[in-house]
Amino acid sequence: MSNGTKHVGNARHWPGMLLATAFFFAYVYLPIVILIALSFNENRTVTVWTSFSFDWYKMAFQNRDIINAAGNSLLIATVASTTATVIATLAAVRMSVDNFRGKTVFSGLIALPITVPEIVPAVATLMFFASLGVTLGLGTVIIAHIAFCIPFAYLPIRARLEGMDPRLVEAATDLYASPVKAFFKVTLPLLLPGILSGMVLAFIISLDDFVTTFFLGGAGSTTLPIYIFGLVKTGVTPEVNAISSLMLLLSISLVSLSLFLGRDQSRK
Amino acid sequence: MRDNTDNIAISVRGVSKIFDEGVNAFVALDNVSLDIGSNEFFTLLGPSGCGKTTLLRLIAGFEQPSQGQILLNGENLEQLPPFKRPVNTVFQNYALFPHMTIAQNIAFGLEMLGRPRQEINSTVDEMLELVQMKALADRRITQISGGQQQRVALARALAPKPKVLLLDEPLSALDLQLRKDMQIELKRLQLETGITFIFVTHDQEEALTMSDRIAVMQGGHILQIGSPRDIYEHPQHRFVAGFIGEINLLRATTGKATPEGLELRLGEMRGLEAKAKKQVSSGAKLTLAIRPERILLAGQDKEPLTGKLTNVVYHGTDTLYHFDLPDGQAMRARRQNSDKTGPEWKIGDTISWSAKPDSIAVLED
Repeated sequence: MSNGTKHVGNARHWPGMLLATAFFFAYVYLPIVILIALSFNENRTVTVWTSFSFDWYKMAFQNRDIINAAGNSLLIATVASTTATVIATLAAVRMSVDNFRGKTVFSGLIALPITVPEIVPAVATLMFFASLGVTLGLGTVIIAHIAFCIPFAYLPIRARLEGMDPRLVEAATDLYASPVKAFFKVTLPLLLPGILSGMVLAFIISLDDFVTTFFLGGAGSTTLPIYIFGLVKTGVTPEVNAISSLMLLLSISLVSLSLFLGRDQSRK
Repeated sequence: MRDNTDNIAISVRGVSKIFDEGVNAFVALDNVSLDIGSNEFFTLLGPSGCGKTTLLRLIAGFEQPSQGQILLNGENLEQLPPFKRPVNTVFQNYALFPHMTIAQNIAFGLEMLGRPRQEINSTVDEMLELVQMKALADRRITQISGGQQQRVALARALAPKPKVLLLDEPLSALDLQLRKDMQIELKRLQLETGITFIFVTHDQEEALTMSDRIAVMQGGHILQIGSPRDIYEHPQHRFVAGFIGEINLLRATTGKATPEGLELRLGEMRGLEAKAKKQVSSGAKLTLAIRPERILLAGQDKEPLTGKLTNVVYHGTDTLYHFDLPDGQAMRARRQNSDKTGPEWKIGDTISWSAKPDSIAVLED
């Protein structure tokens, strides 16, 4: 080994590291920071700063359409994430307790939808509902959301299960717990952080979704992303900035919650 | 030694366990039979892969035998799932429930059995007392040390007062001093509770210290069952002799029968005698086993047998002498350091030695 390799592990010694880092963070976060700043701008013209105010937030909260859209978003996200989490939990537990032929393939198939371009299942589901003659609306959106939420809920639960000592369930049955009791007394409580983490993740994915909602929505199923898209077409007002900022705040809180719940508590 | 024929807790009858099928098939246990008495501290001893843990898991009900049956107090366990067997396990890594306190862990079995709250509370108290963990009852499992977790695992498994307690290498994760303390502790618990303990270990010292009887296992078979003294003093099998303690294994030929038993020859050298259990014809080849501490060493020409010192290793309480026999076989003898200086034998010196007839085991291969 030559002396030159001594500092390779320390990124501070790389030329231009600081600049590259600064550029990266500016590239990713500057637009968001500007958007949040402008949501407090008193001026109606989006790009010209005059003075600080909460006016646009007030306006957003008084706008019935926004309230309705937010209500739809929360309803869809709640129903979709809860249902998807129940299905994902059942799938994950089954995958962990049993060895069967083609298990790896099934495990892959459950997670696959994450990598499929969203437009594909969206169009496919649209055609499916069209061929059945189902009227598009909240119901069809929720059904489609459940489908794409399942893998997002499944992965954290599965990860949590992999980290769980199989002897714990054995210990429970050894101590006179029937398989059902062992599940509710030992498996479920230990899995709960993973389940909640998966549910929160699914909730955010559903809340932010545009493509699927756009294709499968109908009258009365306008969600916040769809509403904002409509507003932008007619010109961006600081009101859009205000709603976007609020959605960002909600997303960040939920992601933090998900990470907090999913952290490994068994390690000291 | 206790009488095991009247009061048998666990009876294993012709049990085999084969994992997987076809080319991957692995025979973990091959037609194993044994009886374990009530109140007995019984140890399954063997290297990893010998089938000792598999046998324990079959008794617990986590696995089903491929053949044969296991009886508990005369009752066939075959149809009983683990949660209906009056048998509890202390797991190797303890498998304590991390989302519960110490007291909740200990109460778990009793709660599952639907015992009244009052009884549960008093039993939990009793168990905490038994393993000296009363002060930590409301701590979480993650907040206590390995040795303390070990005690909780014991208390949890003992709380439902099982007929049989199964212990799967429970001391292997502890450091040496703690392990020695726990050996004494385990023996005390077994005597106090009067529960049959079946203890699995690969540690021969652990087996010798605690057990009433030991079954030495290898490759899915039981090679020998007996008391610690019996197994140590009278190994019937080359593997048993080598696995438990230090031993010299020597190739010998038989000479003529003597009043004491049987004359043995090491190469051309005569003068060794063993108690022969069965008739062996003169000139037969066999293997002898002699423990290093049973060899009596002396200066040149004082004893009938000779050897040439090749190494001397000082161990504090005793000294280990390595020497070669005239026919080239290597031997070791252990000598207690009963005075400060010891004999002044140097490497290369010729020494003489002997061994009592009852210190020599004639082995089957």
